[in-house]
Amino acid sequence: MNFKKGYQLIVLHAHLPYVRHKGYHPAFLEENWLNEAICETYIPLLETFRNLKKEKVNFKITMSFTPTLVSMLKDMYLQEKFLKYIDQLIELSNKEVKRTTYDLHLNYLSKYYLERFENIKSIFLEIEKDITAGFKEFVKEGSLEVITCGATHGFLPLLESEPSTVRAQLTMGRKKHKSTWGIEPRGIWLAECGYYNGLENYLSDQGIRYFFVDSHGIKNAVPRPKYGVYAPVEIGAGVFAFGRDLESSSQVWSAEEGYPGDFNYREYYRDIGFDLDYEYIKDYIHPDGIRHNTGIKYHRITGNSNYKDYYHPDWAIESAGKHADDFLQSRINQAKKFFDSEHQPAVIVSPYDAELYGHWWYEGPKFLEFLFKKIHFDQSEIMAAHPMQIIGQLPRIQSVDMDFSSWGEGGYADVWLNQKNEWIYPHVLECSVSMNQISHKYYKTQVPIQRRILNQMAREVLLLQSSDWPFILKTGTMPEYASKRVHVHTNLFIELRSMLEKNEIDEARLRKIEDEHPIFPEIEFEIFN
Amino acid sequence: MKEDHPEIEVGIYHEPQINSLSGYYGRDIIKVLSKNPKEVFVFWGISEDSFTKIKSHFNLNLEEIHYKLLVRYSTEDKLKNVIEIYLPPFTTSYIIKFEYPVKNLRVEIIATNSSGSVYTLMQSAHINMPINKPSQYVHQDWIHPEWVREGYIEKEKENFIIKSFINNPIRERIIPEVEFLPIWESTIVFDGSSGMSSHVIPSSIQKRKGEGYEL
Repeated sequence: MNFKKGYQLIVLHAHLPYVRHKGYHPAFLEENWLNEAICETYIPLLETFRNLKKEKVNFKITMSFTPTLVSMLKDMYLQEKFLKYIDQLIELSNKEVKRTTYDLHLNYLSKYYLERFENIKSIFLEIEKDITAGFKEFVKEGSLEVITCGATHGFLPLLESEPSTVRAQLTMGRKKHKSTWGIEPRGIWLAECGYYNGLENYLSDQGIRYFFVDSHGIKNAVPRPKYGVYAPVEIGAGVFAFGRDLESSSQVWSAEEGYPGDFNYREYYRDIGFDLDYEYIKDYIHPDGIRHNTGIKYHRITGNSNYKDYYHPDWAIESAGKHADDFLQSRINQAKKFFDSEHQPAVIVSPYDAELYGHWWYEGPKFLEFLFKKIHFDQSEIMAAHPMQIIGQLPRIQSVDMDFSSWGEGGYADVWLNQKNEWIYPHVLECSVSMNQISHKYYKTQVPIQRRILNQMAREVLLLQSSDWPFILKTGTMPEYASKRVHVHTNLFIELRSMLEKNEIDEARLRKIEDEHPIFPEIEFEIFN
Repeated sequence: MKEDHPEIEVGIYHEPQINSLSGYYGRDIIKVLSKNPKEVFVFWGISEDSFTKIKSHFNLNLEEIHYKLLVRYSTEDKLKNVIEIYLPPFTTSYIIKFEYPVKNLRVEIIATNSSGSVYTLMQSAHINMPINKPSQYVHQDWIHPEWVREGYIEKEKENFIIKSFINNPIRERIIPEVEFLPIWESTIVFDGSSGMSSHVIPSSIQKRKGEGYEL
């Protein structure tokens, strides 16, 4: 480790908002987000890790699993929903194998998907439907460093004025991590990389030692960090910040030049859920007739026109290999340049949304597999590492003060606070302020029904604080749903508060609300004190 | 409908009353949310009690009382400024945009009568704003030798300052290599993300709403 010219930190942020609507018919379309992510990202990543292990590749990767995501991954209702989902895909693939006999290549692809879905189902059953159990093996053997996140992915800079809320987000995040993985988290993924000055004190209180920020968070620190993003900085209270490397980010993220735009890769927007005749596909899309992705896609990106050629998995795999090689060479060049100038290994932090790998970029998990193999077998200049390993290896680390930053467009809060979503904040902060006051008033109450109401209020306000709702409102992808969630959580919070304050307790109603949002069964409302 | 009891039970998400939100919580509150180095979003609520106090203070009806935001801020050059913003009736939020980055600010809501008498209703907490540029201050233990050799470092009182390279093409050319690492380049920004609903993936076609292509 001492003689390397650089350390490569691959960080994947796995997150989905809490979406669970048991008993609704027709089902909420948004419940499919989890099914798609399990099928296209989480299980494929698990396969990648297994392949690496089988080939004795010493790989190091850091992944955040948000408390909302792990709550869903361990939820029996959602696990059963996934089983139904994958069974439906297998059924559809079988139909496709019969339908596509007229075209040799389409028929080959339909068989490819059938095999793929059967394999995914068998892995899901093998890990007893619990995705976290599959990843735990790699946590135990030290390849995978799991880190936590705020309870519901709250964007903390916009909650700064309510310290009790920030503490509650972090406390619940830590507790969920411990109950899921059996260990305390050493690191955290701050939702949207949102940091503000002083947050380190709350992180330190939870035993958190490191987190990640966008590059300008480091770049604008005071005093000016000597090594820029190529070394972590200490920001007080024994907490370290790692800055995102823009070059490696843009190689994957960039809409214009990023690897996922390679013409051989699978075209995301050509799916048989949209492409095929309605009568044929209607049993596999939403019962209301709303077409959506099925996951069966027969085309590759092909080029810049609307013409799309058939997908060739072998061509795509070849491209993934080339891209892994290009990525590695770029990192080696970066590290060498830095090392020659500074005589210290470069720390290159490459964070991505986990769902980019597999769901959006179908070949992403294969790219990662190739990358780690190449790092292990093909060179000795850089090595993959975990954050605390690096802290232990660097001769010294500079202490700085950092300001508010995020990884959103513009670098601050413009994505989560703008004309499309600013209306939510009076409600979010009213409920947050109120939760703090009420938790003081009823602190340690031993009246069971009061505790149930207060705990459910805590769940509602945490869910309300999720950064996903303002984000979705901004992007306009599913704004009605995000708006509905803000309405529901706010109104349920107020209803429960009224029930408590007026002492007009309706236990049946309380149970209904508990059943609607059963996240964090272990919650204790006093986290808001 | 809930599929367990389709005839009798409406799911919470389908309850009609769930779709309306109160615009008034009856609490005195003022919050300033920093949006970026030049903009803040301010919102507030005024309680019935406070309205009663204002009325008795001025001995006027509410319609005869006007409201203003008083924004006290300081810039990086430590200049202190105050701006007054007249609020139209029933306003409950405001976006304050500055032409240049400010260092910190505080917002007050004041009530006034026609003779200019003032009653302070609420004031926000002190807000520190992010400064979107690299610091000139460098720590003496973390100065690149090249910076010293090239004469970029000055001592100002007890602090070490890195001199500006702007408008100095010769210096810009010979700035030590570390200065040219990606962090010093103009910031590339990416969209923030929230899992499945987030990314814009490179593609030549947009998602279609209607019927698709026939295979």
